Amino acid sequence: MADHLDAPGLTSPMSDPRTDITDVYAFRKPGDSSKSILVLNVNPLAPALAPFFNSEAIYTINVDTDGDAIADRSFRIRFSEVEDGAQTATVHLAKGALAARLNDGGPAVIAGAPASFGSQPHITTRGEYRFFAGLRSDPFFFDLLGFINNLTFTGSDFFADKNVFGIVLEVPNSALGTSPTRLWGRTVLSKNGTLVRDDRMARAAINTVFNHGEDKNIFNSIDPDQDLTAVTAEGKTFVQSFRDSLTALGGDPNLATVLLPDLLDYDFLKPSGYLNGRRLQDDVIDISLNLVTNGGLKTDGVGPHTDYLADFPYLGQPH
Amino acid sequence: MKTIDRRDFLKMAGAGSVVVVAGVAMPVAGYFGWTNKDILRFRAVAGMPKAPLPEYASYVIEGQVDLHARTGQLAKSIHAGAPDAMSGVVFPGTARTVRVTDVQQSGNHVLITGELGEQSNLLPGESPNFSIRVDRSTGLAHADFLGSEVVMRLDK
Repeated sequence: MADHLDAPGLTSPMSDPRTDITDVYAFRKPGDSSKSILVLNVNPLAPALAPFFNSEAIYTINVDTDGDAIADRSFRIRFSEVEDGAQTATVHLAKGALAARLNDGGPAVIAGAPASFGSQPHITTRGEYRFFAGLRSDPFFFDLLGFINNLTFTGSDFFADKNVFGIVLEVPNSALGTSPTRLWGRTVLSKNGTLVRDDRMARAAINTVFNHGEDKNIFNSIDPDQDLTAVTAEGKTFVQSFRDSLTALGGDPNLATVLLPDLLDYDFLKPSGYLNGRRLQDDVIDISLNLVTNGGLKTDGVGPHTDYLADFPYLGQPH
Repeated sequence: MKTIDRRDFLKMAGAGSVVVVAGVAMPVAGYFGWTNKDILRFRAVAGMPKAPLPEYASYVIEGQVDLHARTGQLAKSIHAGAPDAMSGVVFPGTARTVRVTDVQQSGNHVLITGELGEQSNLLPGESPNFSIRVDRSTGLAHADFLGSEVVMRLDK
């Protein structure tokens, strides 16, 4: 899976599906290269595990503009408490030192945006920003049962009928700072008044494939700038752990320092497509399979869904 | 917000779009043994996929057979989580009942054959026919998993 249920036992980090990141996407707005579309999907199998967003969490899309794997810009989304089955969202844009912290701050670029829990998307526009949050079709595609069957793929798309909670932002490229950028999604929970790191994701299938057991939790609890030095539960570095996994899979162990730190490169001055950003239709699994097996495995036989929308919010209608 | 549990998924089973639990009420708990000289009950588990990939799921076959009557009922399913961290969540469309059609015993080996109770939505590579070979001496069992043979561990 991309990042769905990436805690041990195929569960949500901190047992909270509301803040369990499933995928992160970033691509130039179709038809307008002066803007970018940022997508942070959460809540795998929605709404089965959770019917609403977490009103005590911060959902963030972080942007590193100077190559140190620390956020220089951060879009921070908070949701109101549920009232009569409804929630609204506020999006703040933090910059500089403020962006590197966990707590929210910075000016609001979107406020009072209603979340959508039905089939019709409520879209909020303010200035150059557009925003959507709510139930949508999960755009991810993968033969999960083929993966479980020791990479014996049959082309059966496990996610064809699944939903997620999508958070979609249309932003002017200027809001991302200078290009190229590196992005990642992060969810933050409030525990006893303290903000704690919950889940994070940049590229697809990093934590889910390369980390085992408790290492999944450790990986989620650190930030990308620690990826090269942090250690696993066994005491080896994540880099060495990734090297070992790549070797076992027949891949090039030197890819470990390409995969880490886990950041999604995105140069908004160039056409989008994995690994420059990620579009909904990009076959990240095929690309990853090729990469980590050194061409030994080329495809899971599953292609993009057909329900993506041509316009904002791009995510298909929920099933 | 809910955490994943069997009850939640049972509720959603009708929608067919979400992970469902094995809606199969098994008459026995998961362990291996004899209730009398004729009744063998067992639970066989295999982590999937195999190393170097992380085990995401557990393939489970459980139930009991009557060696004398050569009948019985089994269930098979794919649970989320590795065997040492298995959850109650079952991947959608993977829960099956098995109607035992024959049981053959030879020494420590028991060969159980049968047919799936639900054959309208077979997974790719899944046979409507079923067999599992239980080896009491090694504590292992051999069964088919979507067209591939897997070695399963018998729960004590």
